[in-house]
Amino acid sequence: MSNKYSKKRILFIINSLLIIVLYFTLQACVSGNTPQKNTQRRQACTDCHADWAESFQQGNTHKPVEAGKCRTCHLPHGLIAVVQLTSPAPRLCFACHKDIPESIEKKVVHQPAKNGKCLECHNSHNSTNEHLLKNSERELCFQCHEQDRYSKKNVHKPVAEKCITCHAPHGSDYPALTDKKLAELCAQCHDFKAASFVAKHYGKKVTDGCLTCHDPHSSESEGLLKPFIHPSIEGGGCDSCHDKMEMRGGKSAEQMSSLCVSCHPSHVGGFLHEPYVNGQCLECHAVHASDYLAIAARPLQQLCTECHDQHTGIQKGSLHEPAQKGDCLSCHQSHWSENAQLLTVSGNDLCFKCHDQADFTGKGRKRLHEPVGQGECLDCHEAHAAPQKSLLNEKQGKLCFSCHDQTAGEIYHSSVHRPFAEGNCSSCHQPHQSSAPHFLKDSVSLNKLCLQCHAQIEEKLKETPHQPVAKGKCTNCHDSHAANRKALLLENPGKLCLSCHDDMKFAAESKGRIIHEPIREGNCTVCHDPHGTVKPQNLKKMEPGLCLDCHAEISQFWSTGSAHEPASQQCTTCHLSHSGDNEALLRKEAASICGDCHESGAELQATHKGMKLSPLGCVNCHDPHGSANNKLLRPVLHEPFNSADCLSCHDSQGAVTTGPKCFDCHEKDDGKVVHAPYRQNKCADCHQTHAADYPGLLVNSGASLCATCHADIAKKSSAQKLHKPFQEGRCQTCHASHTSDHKNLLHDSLSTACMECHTDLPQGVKNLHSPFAKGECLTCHLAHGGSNDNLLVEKSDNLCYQCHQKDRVIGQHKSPVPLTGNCVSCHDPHGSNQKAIIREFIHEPFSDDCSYCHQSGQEITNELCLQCHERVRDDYLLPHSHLTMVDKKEGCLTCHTPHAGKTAAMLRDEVDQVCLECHQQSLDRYDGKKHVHQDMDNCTDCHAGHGSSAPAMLKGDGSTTCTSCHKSHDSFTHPIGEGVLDHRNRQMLTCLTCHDPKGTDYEYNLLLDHSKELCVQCHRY
Amino acid sequence: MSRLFYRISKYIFLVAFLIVATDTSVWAWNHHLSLYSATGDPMRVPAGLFIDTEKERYYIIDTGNNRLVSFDKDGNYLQDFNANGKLTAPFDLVKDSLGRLCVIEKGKNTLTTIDLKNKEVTPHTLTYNGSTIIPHRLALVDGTILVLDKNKGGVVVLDKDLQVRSYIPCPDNSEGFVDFVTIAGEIWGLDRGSNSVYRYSINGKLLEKVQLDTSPQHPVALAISPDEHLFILDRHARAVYQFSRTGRLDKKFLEQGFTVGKLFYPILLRFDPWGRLCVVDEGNGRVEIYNR
Repeated sequence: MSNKYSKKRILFIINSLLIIVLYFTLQACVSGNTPQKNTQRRQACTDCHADWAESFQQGNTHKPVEAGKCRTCHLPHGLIAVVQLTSPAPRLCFACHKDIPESIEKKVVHQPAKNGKCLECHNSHNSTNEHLLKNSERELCFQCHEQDRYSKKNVHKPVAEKCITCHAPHGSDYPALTDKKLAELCAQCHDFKAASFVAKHYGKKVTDGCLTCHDPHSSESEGLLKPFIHPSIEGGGCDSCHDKMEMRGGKSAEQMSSLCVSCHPSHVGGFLHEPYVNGQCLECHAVHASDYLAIAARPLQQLCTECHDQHTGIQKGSLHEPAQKGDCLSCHQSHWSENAQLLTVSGNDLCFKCHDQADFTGKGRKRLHEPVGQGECLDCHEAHAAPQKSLLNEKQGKLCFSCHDQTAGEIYHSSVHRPFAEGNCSSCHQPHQSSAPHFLKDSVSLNKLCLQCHAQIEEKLKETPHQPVAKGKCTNCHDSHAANRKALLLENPGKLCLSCHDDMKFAAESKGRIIHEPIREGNCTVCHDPHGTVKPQNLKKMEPGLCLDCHAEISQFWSTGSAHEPASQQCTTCHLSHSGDNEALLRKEAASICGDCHESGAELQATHKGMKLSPLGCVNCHDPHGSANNKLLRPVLHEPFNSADCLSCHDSQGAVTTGPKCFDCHEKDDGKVVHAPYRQNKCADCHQTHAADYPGLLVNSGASLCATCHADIAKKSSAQKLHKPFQEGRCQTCHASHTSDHKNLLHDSLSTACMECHTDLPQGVKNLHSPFAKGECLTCHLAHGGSNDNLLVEKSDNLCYQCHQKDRVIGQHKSPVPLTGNCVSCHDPHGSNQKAIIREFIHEPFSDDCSYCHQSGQEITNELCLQCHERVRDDYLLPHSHLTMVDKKEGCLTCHTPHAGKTAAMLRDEVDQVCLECHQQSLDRYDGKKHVHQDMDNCTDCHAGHGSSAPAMLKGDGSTTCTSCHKSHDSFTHPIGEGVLDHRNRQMLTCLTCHDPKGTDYEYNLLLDHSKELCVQCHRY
Repeated sequence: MSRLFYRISKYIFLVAFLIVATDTSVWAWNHHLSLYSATGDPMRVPAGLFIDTEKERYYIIDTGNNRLVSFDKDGNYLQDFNANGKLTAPFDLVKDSLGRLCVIEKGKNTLTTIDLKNKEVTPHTLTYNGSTIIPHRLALVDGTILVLDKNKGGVVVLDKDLQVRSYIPCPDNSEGFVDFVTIAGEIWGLDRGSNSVYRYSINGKLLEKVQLDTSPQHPVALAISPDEHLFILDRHARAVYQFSRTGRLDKKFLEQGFTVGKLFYPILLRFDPWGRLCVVDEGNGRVEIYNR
């Protein structure tokens, strides 16, 4: 069976193989091809770069190019065409030109060869010149070597032909890249023994040192002689020096000195040049001839700077023109002078040889800058070169501040004038003399100076400029250097403006008057442009656009409904702009102002269907600015009024019939407790009869309405502690407006009403305080406001003793020390699972043994606490600690309860409450801030409870404290932390540098506006 | 004639009174003591200032860097000194009659003497009636060292061996002095709780209580000007309150900020012998100096 099976299997495999072979054979026949090896040829460079290949074949061709072997030097590239060499130059070149590396190892190397810049002289592919040079040989050399030197009247023959006659192109062991030693080189052409040669050299035997007298390239003189020749040589007077000393060869300095002074006697006295004193004539002079005046050994600038190198390293800045030109002798003598530094003339007179003295004399009404007056140019300027402009010896700002040190301190102000910040004093001041005060370039009174930069102000001058602007008194308002207010203002805008505008000052400081908010806040520039506009009173915009910038809501119906014409055209028709005696700054009382335009005649009566008009004024029903309807009626309308059904409420005489008449339509609520106006049918006490701005036709919103009657309760708004709904004017959170089944018109029973918000009070605990259990919250608490914490009726101890007889309480406690009377320090006033409603967290000694802490006569001190709480002792020893006394209690008991606490930390109350007992003012500072820190209740999130090394007792520094929550800011893009210093105080940059974590008026709790003002505190210019 | 003379005299007296009673002078920033341009680390949370009148030197206690930094009268940096790294959170300093530097080291809760000649650093733990004193501020009266005890808020008078000679407790109803200064042999203590300044004799006799008519937010330091105006430094408001000798607020000046002349976390206020007002600012790491 298995045999048979295996035969079948073999047949199946053979058949399968045959089918596969057959399939591929047929496939090949159909396609007409048999499978072949891929023989596609890699593209040659010339397939694409045929034009280059052709151009490279012209003239002398580089061997690899000639052979078409581009890849000798180049790597093929892919889709993106880049030129890639097989190895970098000059290594690539040296691979074939093997003699070159050897030549560039020689003593003197041609600069391009030394730098491996073969292509500075050679072409890489082909050239019309020999050696693939880029240009004809001479022209090529002249690209770097100044041609004038080689083109004088008499040119040395090889120079006219080829430079390489004498010079090696890459490297040489001899100076100036000569092929051979100089004497050998010259001897190639010049026979030193020839009679003519000897005759030309006055019979002297000359075999070397040709260049001491001759220029090897070209000269204006015959015989290629150098232009300045020692007079003794001319005419063959060599013996005048050489015979005397009987020498030919090296001479000592003393010998040379005595030789020179035999003709050039030394000067005695004055200031002497050191080589001159030492007889080191050859330090500066050549012996026989030179290209330079006075047979100087080298160009003057080079010669001088070999010793006087003070300014040679200065790359940027300024060079004194003579120093730049190497014309040292325009200011200095070479051998001696009557003046220090070998100056040709002393003091400023030297400077005035070139610089027009008239600019420094203070003639006319000009005053001289003190250093100028004293002729001390070098107090500010360098003589030769300086890294700064105008040869200043320091950066301009630093230089000026070195004397004007009082001004220097201003740089740290928060707002700094740009030129001042940049130390560019000369943009405003003349450094030498000026007829304007403070050496200004131009008189500020003429505005010219300021307007050079502040061109936009110039436009204001064409309009109606503010008086100080017109008179050019910029400094009446602005500091010229720096100030601690933006725009360099001398004072805050309001105070500054009021210093001139006395009438406004009266308004701003008047009590009892209604004052426009910008005036009250001293922010005049909200409405006025301080420089000027074409508008009256320099207003920024015309009315009403200007007013709408703040009071946008009054125009809400102007496009879709109706606008009151004066409002939409000129607000000041009805309102005053700065201050007034009437509400809303109206020019007249509201009741009478409409009559100025609207006559109270028959037409008005007819419009109002003959009804008697309200003496309170039109604005009861009409919105004086605009409305959704064409009668300018307020948005919430009484239905009968809306449907012109006057008689539903009024009798035929037009008399008002509010009260019982209201209930004809409005179903009267039933309730045990009824709001007095409701009971007395005085609906109009709370509601408008025709139209109103508030839902329910209320005459006012929230607490403002209630306060009109409940003044006694409203007064409590000034109490130290306020119930939150009361503080926020949400009377209806607790009270119903018409009727209720509960006392004081509460929506619900007292306990239910309170527990709706105070959900954190204990519920379901074993033991409840009786008043709390009965829902009698007002037994202990006030409903609106009071002076005690938690709105308690009395301070906690007095309050408890009202129910709990004091003597009995003392007897029950069996305390080894007198009771403090602060019952809630141990008892939870609402309830607890502990007996006697003791708070949940109990201090161990309290539950165990009172004598552990209380011993006869022993005072409870911090020391006692620290005996167990050792760790806290370390915190108290930090520079900032909470070790303090309150009410004669030492530190620990200021915050902690010694027996039982609400929290595990045994604090006397919630953290925020404990802290605020002392630090309330810290938080008060942030009242009204637009942006405040969230979750400020838990002070210990940021602050250490016992002690800290950081100011404000922060848990860490100003960064680590914040990033413990704001983790993403740990790797903030703006550098902060160790090593990053705030330039203003050289302190570590932290989050607190830019933020006030508790709150500010700026987004993200920033200290200033982040669009610019904050950033430029550090990033000046 | 005599009537005219009387009238003129009356006017002169009135004008003179107004000039004396109304201090219209302005405190302007003069310079600061800092290490902005000197080499080395800038100061970190400096907490104290001692002025050596004889040598005309300021010594700033650079708490964060555990060192003392000295400046000359013109604000030029002179040198810094860390007692070979032996100081731990130094907080205040005086120089006693023996020429020793006496430094409060918060980190050790000691009054540490530094004998510069013998190069000896000796910490002393102060106790009184078995209770450890927590030194907070120092002052001198004729070479005698006085220490403000932060634990109980009173002032400790030490003898030359740094043993407690007497203890001047803070008055009843007080939260303890937060700062004190000595003027003409008398002690002036600032009590935050009662918003008052108390004046004591060196023997501990209460001579006077000056009730301030305005409460600063968080007063931390007291200075008395040569003309006996009271200056209170408010750390939270970053301002100085100037009161008359009777406690009437004359003016409030200075503001929060980082640039020179402004305050971030000011901690100490002192007058230097040249009538200039010095404010040690922890937050900005410098001492600001103002003059009229």
